[in-house]
Amino acid sequence: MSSRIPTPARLQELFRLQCFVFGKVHNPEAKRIGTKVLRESLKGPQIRNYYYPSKQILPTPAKLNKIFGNWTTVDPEEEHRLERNEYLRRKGKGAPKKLKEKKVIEKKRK
Amino acid sequence: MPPRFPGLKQVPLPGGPKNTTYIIRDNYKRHMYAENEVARKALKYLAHNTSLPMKTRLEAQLQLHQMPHYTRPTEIKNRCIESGYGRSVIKEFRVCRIKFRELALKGELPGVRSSSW
Repeated sequence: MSSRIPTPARLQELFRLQCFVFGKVHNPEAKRIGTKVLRESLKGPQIRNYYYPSKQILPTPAKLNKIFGNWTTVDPEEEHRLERNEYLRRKGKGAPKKLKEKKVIEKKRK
Repeated sequence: MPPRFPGLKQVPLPGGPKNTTYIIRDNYKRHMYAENEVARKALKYLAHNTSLPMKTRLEAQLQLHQMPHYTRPTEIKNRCIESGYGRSVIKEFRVCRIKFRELALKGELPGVRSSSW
């Protein structure tokens, strides 16, 4: 009756097969093959998205309302600007109205 | 002299409340690192592999060294995403100590409140 203890050669073969089955690098002599570099996960996307997402890529609420006709999304910054403009116009400190072409010509002649 | 940060204007700006020059530069470096990460890793793998001939390893190391400075991960610095401050930035919230206090007192940081006992 043969002994039940496996030989070292057989154990090595088992280890090699284990690596083959589970997709690992077989490196029994522990040489520096650089697989450590390849094993690391890529962290580029995570590093790139550190700051707030860009507003240049995202559509504005006004654009969204235009695309989907029923939508009524509110842009607080834009609303604040319009309110301020109205307030200034009531005080008489608003931006001047656009001049028509005729008036511009008259001024130039003077 | 070549520009220090070529193509800086093509990179989308972060949409935070305050974009300082340092934030814009750091954002650019982050984008460039993400673009060149795979190439850097491949060169590093070639240089670190002792089973390859010495000449290829050296060449890979030289190429890695010649890549522009803005593609290196060590150039990247964690800054405050609110104010752009570069010191005492709390990693979990990505804000500096001053903004952290302001936001925490406003109650805008979930799970953070002033201690009392």
